[in-house]
Amino acid sequence: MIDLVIPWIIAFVEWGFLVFFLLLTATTLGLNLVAAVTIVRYLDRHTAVGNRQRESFGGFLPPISILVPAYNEESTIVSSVHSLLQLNYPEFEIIVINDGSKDGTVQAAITAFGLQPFGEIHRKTLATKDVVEVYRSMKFPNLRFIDKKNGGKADALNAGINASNYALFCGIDADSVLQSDSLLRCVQPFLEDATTICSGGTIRIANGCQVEGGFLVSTGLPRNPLALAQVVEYLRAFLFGRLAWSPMNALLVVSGAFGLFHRDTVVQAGGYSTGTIGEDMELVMRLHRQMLSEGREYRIVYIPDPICWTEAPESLKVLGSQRVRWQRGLAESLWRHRWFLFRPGTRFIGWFSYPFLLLFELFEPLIEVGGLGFFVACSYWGSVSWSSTALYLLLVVVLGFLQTVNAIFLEEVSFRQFTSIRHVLKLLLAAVVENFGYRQLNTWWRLKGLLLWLSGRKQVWGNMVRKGVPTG
Amino acid sequence: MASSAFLGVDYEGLRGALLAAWNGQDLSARLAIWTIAAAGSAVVVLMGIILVLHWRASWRMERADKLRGRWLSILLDPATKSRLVVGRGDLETFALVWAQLVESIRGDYRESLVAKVRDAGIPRLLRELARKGNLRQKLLCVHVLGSLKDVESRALLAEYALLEDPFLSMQAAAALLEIDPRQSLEMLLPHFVEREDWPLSRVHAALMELDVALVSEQLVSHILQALPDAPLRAVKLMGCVRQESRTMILRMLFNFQQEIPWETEAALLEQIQDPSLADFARERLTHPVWQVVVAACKALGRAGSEQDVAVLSGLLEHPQWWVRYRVARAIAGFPQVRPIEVEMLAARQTDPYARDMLRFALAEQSLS
Repeated sequence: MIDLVIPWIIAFVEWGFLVFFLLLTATTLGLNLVAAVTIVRYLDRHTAVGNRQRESFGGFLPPISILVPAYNEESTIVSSVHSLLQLNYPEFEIIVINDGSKDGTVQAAITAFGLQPFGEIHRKTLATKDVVEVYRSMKFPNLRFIDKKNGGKADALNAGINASNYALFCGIDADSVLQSDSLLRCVQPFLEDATTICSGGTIRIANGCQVEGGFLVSTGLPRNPLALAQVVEYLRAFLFGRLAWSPMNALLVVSGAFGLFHRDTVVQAGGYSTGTIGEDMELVMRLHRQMLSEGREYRIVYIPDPICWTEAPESLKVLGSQRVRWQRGLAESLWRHRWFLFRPGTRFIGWFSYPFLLLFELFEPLIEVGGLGFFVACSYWGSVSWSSTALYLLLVVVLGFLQTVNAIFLEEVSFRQFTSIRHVLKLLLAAVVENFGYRQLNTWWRLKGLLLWLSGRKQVWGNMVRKGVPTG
Repeated sequence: MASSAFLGVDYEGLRGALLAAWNGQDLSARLAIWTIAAAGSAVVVLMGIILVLHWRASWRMERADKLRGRWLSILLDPATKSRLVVGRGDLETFALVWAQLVESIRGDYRESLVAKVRDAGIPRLLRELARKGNLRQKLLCVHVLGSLKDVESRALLAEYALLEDPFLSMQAAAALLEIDPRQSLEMLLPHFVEREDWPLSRVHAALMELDVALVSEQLVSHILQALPDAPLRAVKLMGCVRQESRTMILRMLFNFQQEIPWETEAALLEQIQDPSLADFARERLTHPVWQVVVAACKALGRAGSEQDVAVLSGLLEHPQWWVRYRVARAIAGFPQVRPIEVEMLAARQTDPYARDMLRFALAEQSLS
């Protein structure tokens, strides 16, 4: 009986594995195609090349509150805030929220910005941990600093929302490197369509780039192989993968590193959830859910401009911890909002983007590791030849490679951030090399994140060891 | 077996297995091999295309740099006898160079540059490209034709200004205003007021480039024709109008007795600068919509006086935080009211929220 069943099981797994990866590749390439069309249309209309319409600052650009949650950011907080203060935008305020740091974040900010305790009336529109003190800068009138008890990143952002004075707020990470016109670009969807409630921009890796005065002045590639692999990965997974969902209004992730939100809509939705690790994704999903439930017209937009640059981890330990955290955040958000899955009236979200995330991002490591593990076990027991196992391993690698090279191709026809041929060759080389080690590690971390989520263990702010990007 | 084993992989064995799988009846294995072959080929082709594209883009950039140098030397040197020559293939590059050049040049010198470009027959080529090119080329050509004040392109630009595409239509509208401000404004003003897809910031920027007397005359006339309605976008554009015309039109609009949407009412209040209009803001301090009350408080902060402190302080206990905040800011901001008086007013408050808000506004005032 077993002799009859085993070949059927093997055939089932073989076909399942094959179909899964073919489907994944076809979907990814399809999304890349949508992203390419979106980028071309966007560049035609919005870049300095095509559209030289002047923007008036005369009270028509909505003022923006920039929220900077900080936890143990002693080494980066001063330079980050200095770069934010130089943003090219007519009216904005910066609210740094210290979430009970254990290092010298508060003292560094007090010294650098001349902070003075300020008797601010703190509105508790959203519930947060207690605010210890509110400071105002004596040097920069648009800078405030909130010192609060530790409650996590989401709690810090909620405290920032409570303190914000403007209709739009922009949540950014303290270590983000922005372009001087980041806000100008990100606010465009709000000007063009009054139903816009959120816009996110593309995040790229700052390692290897040259930064001056807190702004990126030239792009480059990192020497660290781990960071280099992440450059390729960001192109493949985050740039073209996410962008395609925007025209369908089915974008479920706006990175916490840079996202512009309509304050009142976020407050109505209850602010950031403190009970999840992936608070950025969870909020976007909740906004979708609220607007769809209430039958309101809305847009959540992703603009392809690289407006925010972030430092990628260069050590296995930190990177692993980050990826485990991301996967747990993804799992939590998807589980919390399973309401979307194939629900009538949820448009592209319930039928496309949510199932895509569920199958190809959440369960992909399980299927990849499970499938390959099955083949290895079967080969060991002699039920499948080693050559077949090698064949399927090769399949996974080649299809992954195709996705990466396609992403580099799209980068070349759109933004061309890497202008030297040496950089292009290095990227292509990284696209080859990352398949041997990095992707497998990544799959393992993601699987670990999924398993940790299933086990229900709690996680707190991640500790990112910062090296800093080269400054001029 | 150095030839068949590297990094511990038995390549001969793998090759044999692939051949066996290929020749065998295992359909899934055959499909896997086909997929690997197709994906591998696609990778090789894509990599080749990437390198070719990169090389082509670099070549184009180098060529553009050379052309830019040549054109700029002809355009900017008054003594040169060389004639400006731009091939059709280089027209887009020229348009970009021109657009960047004229942004910083005004007056007679600009006119001499425009004359050189006209003499070279470039506007005709630009009109052709504006008709036949892709959207990016159209946007660029429309912009350049506007900066060249090319009268012959008016019909084309007027056609484009009525298109649905918000980018091209807005660009064409801005270009038309550059070529013939009076006639174009008359034609475009209804669109500026009605087209929600034209961002007000851009409309405002285009209007600010024009003579303020012309804009005042036509915008006021447009609002008067629309009375008793007050189009919200037209009200918001009143920042482009002369102060005296704005005061006049605001007084007329406030004096109409019929119901107007609260958004328009708030926008009208936002335009108040003149103390003679402060009464209209005072009347709206009891408006049922708190956003209108906020706008009224801000208007009083700009156009009111210390006499308003009494009526404003009554709103310090308003349930809406923003009203309390704006009231406190208005009181603390009156030049005639000294900080010590605000502090005394705060001390007299029985409601702790009102007291704290006044002190908060006072602290903010000291920072600005």
